[in-house]
Amino acid sequence: MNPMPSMALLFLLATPTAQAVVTAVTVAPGSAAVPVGQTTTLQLRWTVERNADASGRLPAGDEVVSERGEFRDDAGRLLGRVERRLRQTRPVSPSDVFDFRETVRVPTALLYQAHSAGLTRIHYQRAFDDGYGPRSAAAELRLTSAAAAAFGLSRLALSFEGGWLHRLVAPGEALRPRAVVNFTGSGQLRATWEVAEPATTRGEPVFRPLQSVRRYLTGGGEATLEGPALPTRDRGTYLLRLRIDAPETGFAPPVLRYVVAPTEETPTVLKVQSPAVGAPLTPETRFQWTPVAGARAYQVEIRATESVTGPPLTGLVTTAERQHATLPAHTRRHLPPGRYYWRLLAIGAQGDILAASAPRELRVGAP
Amino acid sequence: MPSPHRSGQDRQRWRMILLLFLFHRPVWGEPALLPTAEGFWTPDAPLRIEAGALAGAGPERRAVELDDMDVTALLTVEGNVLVLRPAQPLAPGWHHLRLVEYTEDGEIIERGAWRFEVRRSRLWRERDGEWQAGLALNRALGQVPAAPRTTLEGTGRANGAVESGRWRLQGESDLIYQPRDELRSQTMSPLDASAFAASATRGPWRLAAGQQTPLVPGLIAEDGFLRRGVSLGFERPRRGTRVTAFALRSQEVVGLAAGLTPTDDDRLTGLTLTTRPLAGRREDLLVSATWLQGRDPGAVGDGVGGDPDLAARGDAYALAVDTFLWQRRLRLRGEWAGSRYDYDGAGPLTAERSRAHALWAGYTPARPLNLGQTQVNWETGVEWRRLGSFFRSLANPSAGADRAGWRAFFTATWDGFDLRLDGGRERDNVDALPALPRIAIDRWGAALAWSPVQWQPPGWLGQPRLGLDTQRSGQAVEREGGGLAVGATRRTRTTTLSAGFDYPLGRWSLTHTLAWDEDLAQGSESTSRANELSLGLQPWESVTLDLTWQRERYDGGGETTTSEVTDLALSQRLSPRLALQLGHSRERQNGPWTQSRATATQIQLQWWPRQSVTVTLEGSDNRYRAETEQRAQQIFLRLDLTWS
Repeated sequence: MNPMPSMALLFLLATPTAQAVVTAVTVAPGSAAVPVGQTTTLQLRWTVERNADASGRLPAGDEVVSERGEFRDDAGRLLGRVERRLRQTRPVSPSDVFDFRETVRVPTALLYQAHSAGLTRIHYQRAFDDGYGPRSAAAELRLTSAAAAAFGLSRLALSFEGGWLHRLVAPGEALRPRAVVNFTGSGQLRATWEVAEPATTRGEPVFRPLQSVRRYLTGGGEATLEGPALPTRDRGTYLLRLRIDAPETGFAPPVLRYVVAPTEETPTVLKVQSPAVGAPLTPETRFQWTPVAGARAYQVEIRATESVTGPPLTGLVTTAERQHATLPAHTRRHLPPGRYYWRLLAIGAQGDILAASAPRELRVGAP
Repeated sequence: MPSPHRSGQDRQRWRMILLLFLFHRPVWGEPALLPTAEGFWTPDAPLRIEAGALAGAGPERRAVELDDMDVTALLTVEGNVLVLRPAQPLAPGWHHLRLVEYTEDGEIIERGAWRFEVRRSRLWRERDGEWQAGLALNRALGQVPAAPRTTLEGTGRANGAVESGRWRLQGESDLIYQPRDELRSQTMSPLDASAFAASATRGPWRLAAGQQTPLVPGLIAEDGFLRRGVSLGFERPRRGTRVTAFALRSQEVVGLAAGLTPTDDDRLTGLTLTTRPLAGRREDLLVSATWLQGRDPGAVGDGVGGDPDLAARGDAYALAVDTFLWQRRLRLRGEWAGSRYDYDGAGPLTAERSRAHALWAGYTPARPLNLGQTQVNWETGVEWRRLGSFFRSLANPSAGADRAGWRAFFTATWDGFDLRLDGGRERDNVDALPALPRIAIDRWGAALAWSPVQWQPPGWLGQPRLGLDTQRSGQAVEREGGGLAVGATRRTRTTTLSAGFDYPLGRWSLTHTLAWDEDLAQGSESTSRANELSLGLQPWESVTLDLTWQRERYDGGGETTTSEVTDLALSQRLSPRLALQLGHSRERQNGPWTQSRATATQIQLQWWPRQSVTVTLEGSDNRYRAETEQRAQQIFLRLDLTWS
């Protein structure tokens, strides 16, 4: 009996499979420009290919895993890690292509560290293993200035007027948000202001859109986005956010909260007829309104912002017999050219405010 | 016998006396604010001005201002005295009163100006306190997943002040009771103060705690830098000098549970000095100096997203001069600053030093420019700015760096037109970092707005406002590096047309924006077309309707993406104690990778059975359709109670 076939069979059974089943790993994009001194976010797509081994046997493993990502320099020295596991499970088949999408935030300190070391590029690499041996790929990150880097947001700060992060306001009070974004590169910012109102925050909060933002940002830097007038009719807790659709950010959208609190005596809305929103102020500008029962006097207040807190810049007070007024010259002198907001108050016999109009824009040109 | 010479002197003397009596306004005739018997004014006390002949003149000849508000209509005349009874009680503290005269040749002359103090009593200038509280009980009708069926929420406001005239204590706070974590800021406890501020003042000294803005805005401190902390200040108003030492959190926090004082990893301390050194012309020169140092825990606080691992530390200083010259027609401002910033705090990286400066000049002519029969009011200005490549300040986290360049602007108004032109050029890689490119960025813009001044439009046109705004920018590599070759890399154009019309019963406006962006390095371009319609109606006093519609189409990279947002709100007062509100919003997004639809519908019925009690029944229906469909319907009954 020839011992060779038996020995060959024993050899094949004893020898582990030498060829990895993962045959190729690629990453797209293969190269990206990143800014020195600012954080940036990369959108990477890893493609892992597996085939049956050389013997034609189907692999026993059906899972491809990458334990972490690593930042390295050209010499392979480790600069930093991203401890995020990527894993996919797929039914076994002779040939498989696995796609992994990853959003990677590159820390500011790491980019500065690379620049300080005199590096002009670093690499972000991952190794994918299906249990039969790993294969890796790397994306090249070229260090450059903020203007030349890929379009991305490095910081987003939301606040209400005055820099507040939380507001307690009366029903109907004017409230606007502001967003300041720091960005690199150039591109179109696509975002939507969203709010979850008390009708849902009393249970499970659900955001609804208020206003979309479409703006081209160029050359890296910072930009300020003024938000819309926020709903304040309903009493309760509101959640506000700016949902960023593009570019992809490596952070969750920050959320602000504001509460509309019932006041015991909310002034009635006072209806005004003129001047119209955005009208220029002239010596002939006529402030006209609908009379309010019980009013002893009416007060026209002019401020620099829509907020009605704090004393007004100027204005006038007139008696209840009149339903119109014009600003005299000595009062107009308090207003240098610019944009202002005016509102009207109806004042009762005890000095209480019976009704108030919503702030309206007023423009003052140079005399 | 009297000497002839002596009698001539006497006649001359009497002639002078007669002339003085006829033509010189006697000193005792100057308007005066009459004091009260107590020596101070209470909030309800009338103000009496002895105005002489002006008292009898009509309101077309004289006017009175109280705290810059014209109160002429409230005056009554008692002989030579003008009596003012303010429409509202005056707040304790100092107020100012002014009497002006309109002369026959149209001049406005100030005839008197007074500061007076309002106090509650001789002992107390002020002793006031207010509080307001509310509770709301919510009950879900039907099952609400992952949320309590019954919830209780509360709010409160409190403020108070005590002042003797030599010292003052003041405080205010907003209180929130919110048991649910997702509806609270991350640093708040269920019962907490969302904001608070307290101060104690004695003479020139002032101690403040809570939310405050002690820094002067500029290169190292952002405008409106609101942070929690403590500060101690010394002020000499007559000399225009103020010194403030501060210890703040570098990240703004919400909730008293987060503490009052800074922590080791989150602090910003320093000193700021402002002075107006020109006696007699205090407003013409302002000098300020600021130094600060601290640690930044990264973008981990409320309202901010970014790099949470940037545990940095550093310090910065700035010196600024702001002056008016040439009868306040010319304004010059200069600021010089430096920073030292360590990107990893206590880590192995060394701190990076950098400098910055900004120079600004603005000119406003004393008289308008006459072009035929048109008077044009204009002003212009120019700015030069240089920020080092690694210039960073903990108190200005959103400020850019690595820029050097100039910017100029010109504005003009005439006959209802408003024109603004601005433009400039700046470059990056200011410190000439090797291997990095240098890019030049040009920006130019023009905006023209018009609304009628002299012309009275027909009724159907309402009060129109028209606008045209165009912005251009271009980028070019001036020095190669980072894989970029010399040459133009990008061009962007944005043009916006807008029209708005206001009527007694409502308003509407339409805006169209066309933007075009060309990436010359990649050989690609994209366009964006956006339209927005806004409508507001109040056909009857009890009914209001608001509609907003936005649509945008984006073409780029061979793909088209459209988005549409519609928001409709209707409110109606059914009776003095019953109101109905309806709301519907819709969002659609269509693109090569995403197709989604979201709708939100809300209905609310509010009833006020009595004062301080509100009962609300409201429901919402939210749907979201993308790859899957989600729907949530919620109905609540709510009871609101308020006290004060």
